[in-house]
Amino acid sequence: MDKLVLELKAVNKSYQDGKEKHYVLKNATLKLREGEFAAVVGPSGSGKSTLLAISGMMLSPDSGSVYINGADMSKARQKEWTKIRRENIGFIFQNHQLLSYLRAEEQLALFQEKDKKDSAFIDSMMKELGIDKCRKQFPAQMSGGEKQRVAVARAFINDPALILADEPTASLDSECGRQVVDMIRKEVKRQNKAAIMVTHDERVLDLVDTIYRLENGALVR
Amino acid sequence: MKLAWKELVYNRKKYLLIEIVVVLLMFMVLFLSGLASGLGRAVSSGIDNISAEYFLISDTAENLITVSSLDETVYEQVMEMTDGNAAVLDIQRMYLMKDGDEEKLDITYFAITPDSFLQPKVQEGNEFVAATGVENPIILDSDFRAEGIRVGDTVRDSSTKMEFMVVGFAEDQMYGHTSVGFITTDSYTRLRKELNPFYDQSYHAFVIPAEYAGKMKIEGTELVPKTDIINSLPGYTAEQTTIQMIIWVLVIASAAIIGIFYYIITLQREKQFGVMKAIGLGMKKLSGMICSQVCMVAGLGAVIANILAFGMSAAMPQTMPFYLSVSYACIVTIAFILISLAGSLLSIRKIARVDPIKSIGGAE
Repeated sequence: MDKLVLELKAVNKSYQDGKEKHYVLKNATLKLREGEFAAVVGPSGSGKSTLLAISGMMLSPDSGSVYINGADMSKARQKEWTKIRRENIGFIFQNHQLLSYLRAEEQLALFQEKDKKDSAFIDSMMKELGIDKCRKQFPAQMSGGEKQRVAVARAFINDPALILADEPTASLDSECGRQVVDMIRKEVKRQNKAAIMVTHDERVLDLVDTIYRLENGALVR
Repeated sequence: MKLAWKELVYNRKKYLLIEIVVVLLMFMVLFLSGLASGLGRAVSSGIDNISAEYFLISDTAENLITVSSLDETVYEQVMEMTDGNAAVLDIQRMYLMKDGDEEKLDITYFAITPDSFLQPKVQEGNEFVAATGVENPIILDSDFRAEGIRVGDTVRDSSTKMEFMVVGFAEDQMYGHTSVGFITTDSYTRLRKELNPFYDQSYHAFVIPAEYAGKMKIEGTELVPKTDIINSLPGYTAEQTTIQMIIWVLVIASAAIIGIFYYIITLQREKQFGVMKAIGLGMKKLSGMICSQVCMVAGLGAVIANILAFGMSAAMPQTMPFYLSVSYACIVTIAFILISLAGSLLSIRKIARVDPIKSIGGAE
């Protein structure tokens, strides 16, 4: 059986809305294995971002536990979160979020850990994602699809176990969006990673292995 | 460091504007300090140029050479204690007239013995020793050349009508905003006798080389270091404190402006910092980036301003009281960079408070 990369156990998260307590996540449970590409869908405001923030070590749950690579993250102190993110998680954001002042290859080199400095890996990622020709370009010179593909490459650059993608297709037209999701899928399979993609783009759901729906704070398969 | 530089280069238009402001402010600071020390030199350079470190004056003179009066017995004791290596200095403020001209020029006589080490470095003409045979030789500050006086001219003391022959010019010799004329102690005694027939030989001060400073204990006298003499010159301390105050307020204000600029830039980039933190860049790296960037902007601006200020000082006319010392420029520059760095702490604190969660969900 493949190794569990991310496990959410009965995660609750709520916020106070006037006098009422509003549950964003209620008893959310999820298991993600190596090589698995999962999608979380739901209307906006349904708590997708909160789920991603909790899985991504940016927010702590009110109750329940998060396991990354089998380690209980509720025991980690907030000071260590940055390090945990750097070592275990690769992020893909809505609007690529590349640094405007760096060329494509520098974007990748910047976030590569010192002990993993490996230009060959950058080369292979860029070729694999078809962005080899824009490695010397600034984001302003690339197309939307190219930018998002550089962002995908960036997410994989430190060999993280878990990839979290936050609406990666939101700023792209449907064709480009599909290409990008397909690339995430290919890299997840090739490098045997686990990935969660939050999306409301139903058209790309055929590319994922598992689909979760967020309904009233609960994750339904 | 590299990252900081790349950002500067990419956004060069934005940073160029900041750089211009920095250069202008820093240049203003340096220019003012040049004028300030120029002004200070106009009060003190005659004294400041003296290589010895100590002055022996009457203990009631309150560090003012012109108020001090020492008699012949002190002279003999001093000469004995220093093996004749002390120098006599009398300072007298008077007016001078060009030959055949009734216009009075301000002058301060520095009366010295012709062979003493107080002899100024002559830029044009001769020293006293080379001008034997001249009854009343005078070496003038080079500013007098602007009045049309030349070597070999005769000038007259306005109250005694005593005539002096200009034997040389020395550069940058000022005392209390007037130019200095070096005369011999003999001429000075004659001058005083003209003014007051009952004048008794007396001395304002003895300049003592540092190696004898330890043993100069004479009743009724006081040994005063050169810096104290200068600080007690009339007007010197008051002028300098005022201008120093202006300079340092300017240094702090310009550094604060950089700090505020950076804070605004940081606010604009809040989301970007959120993303960088989400991906896993620690505060160490981010604050390093801000600090090195501030260092670059402030440092580069300061260097350009220094080049401008020193270039300007070289191009300025002689009579302009502008004097910029390298050591002072260094202090101001370093202080400026340090205060800029302190100002960047505001931005760093802001970045530290950016929640990486800002990077996900919702657009801007």
